[in-house]
Amino acid sequence: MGILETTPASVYLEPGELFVGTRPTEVCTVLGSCVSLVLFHPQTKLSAMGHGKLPSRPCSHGSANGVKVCRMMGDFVSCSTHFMLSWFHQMGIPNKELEAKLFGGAMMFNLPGKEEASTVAIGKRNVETAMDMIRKERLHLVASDVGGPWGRKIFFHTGSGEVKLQRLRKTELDLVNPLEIKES
Amino acid sequence: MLTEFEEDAIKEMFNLSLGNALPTLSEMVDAEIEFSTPCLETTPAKQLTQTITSMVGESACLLHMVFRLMMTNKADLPGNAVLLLRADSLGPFLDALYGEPVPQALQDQVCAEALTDVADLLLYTCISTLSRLLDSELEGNKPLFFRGKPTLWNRSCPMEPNSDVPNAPNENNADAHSITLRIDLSIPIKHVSGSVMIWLDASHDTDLKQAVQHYITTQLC
Repeated sequence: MGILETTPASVYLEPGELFVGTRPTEVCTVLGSCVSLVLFHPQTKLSAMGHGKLPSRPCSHGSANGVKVCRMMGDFVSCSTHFMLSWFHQMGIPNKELEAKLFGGAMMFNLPGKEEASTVAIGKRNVETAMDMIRKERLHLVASDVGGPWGRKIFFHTGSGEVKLQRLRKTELDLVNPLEIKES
Repeated sequence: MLTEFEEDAIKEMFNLSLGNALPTLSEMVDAEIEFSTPCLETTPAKQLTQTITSMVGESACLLHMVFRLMMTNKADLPGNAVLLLRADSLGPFLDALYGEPVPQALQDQVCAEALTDVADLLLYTCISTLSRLLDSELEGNKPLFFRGKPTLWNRSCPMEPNSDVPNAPNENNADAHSITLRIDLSIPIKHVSGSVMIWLDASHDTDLKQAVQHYITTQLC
């Protein structure tokens, strides 16, 4: 057995990017107020993961006859979720067979008048949008880790569906991914 | 009537479901959560508010999600999930969520929205796991917030008439009864206590029996 078959590939998701895959891969990303929706099909090990910076925008997402790639799709939780679900549908997998996990949305809760108010609103709205999509698409949400004042580094192992999560202090998050804090 | 084994199976499903959902809450309040083993009762619908009153007294804070599990080739299984907090837990719970003391003057302003977000994640994750155990599709509304006397709750939180999901247990229907599942939880370090309850419509208990038998044959045997 060659080394390529025993060592899963690694992918780092920048904010606004997303991943869909058919082979075992370790997908890693760092989240502040952005959210990652992770989708996994246990029977086939097909998997997808987004890194949405913003909640949604008005956009038509096409039909069941194909997969539409929206402009700046990965930036928006709504568009990236539609794309990932369409990809699973094209693979013949219905929503009810998918496991969904939701991460991120830091600073969901902050008292009115605080200086972080705009960041708070984005984290909270990202999570609300993801939950609305999950509910509308009747997905099974099996785990989540959202809110709190900390960032998160997550590792999604697509061969098993496992997600490992590491909390980051704000200074650590600044070092790892300075852009993400400003943008999301 | 469910057999003792079927009742045990439902309790186990609820235990697994809430056990899967509680880490979500634990992370949000950044504290350990203790929870009881599940208990199950068959309750006439008209006694549900009395049950809540006996648990929390005359002042309750509850988040109510109506859901339906859509089984393949079987009848749908309607139900209700509730996160119930004692009134004196509300302030400490908000403090835990916000990571700092929430002034009394701001509590009313933030509590409905914050608790709805928390209950949405907690109850939806719990019901999702239940749905997966039963190989069903899930439909559930966003939780509705209620604060006040439990006896006023059903009238205060009606579902919209055009809602796709079933209504809360109908207290006016003398024949309606529910399987009530309950787990008490506490966050000792934050001085918060409450319960998560699920009511499954048992008026047509053959549907519920079929669902439980499906779980027993596919997961336990």
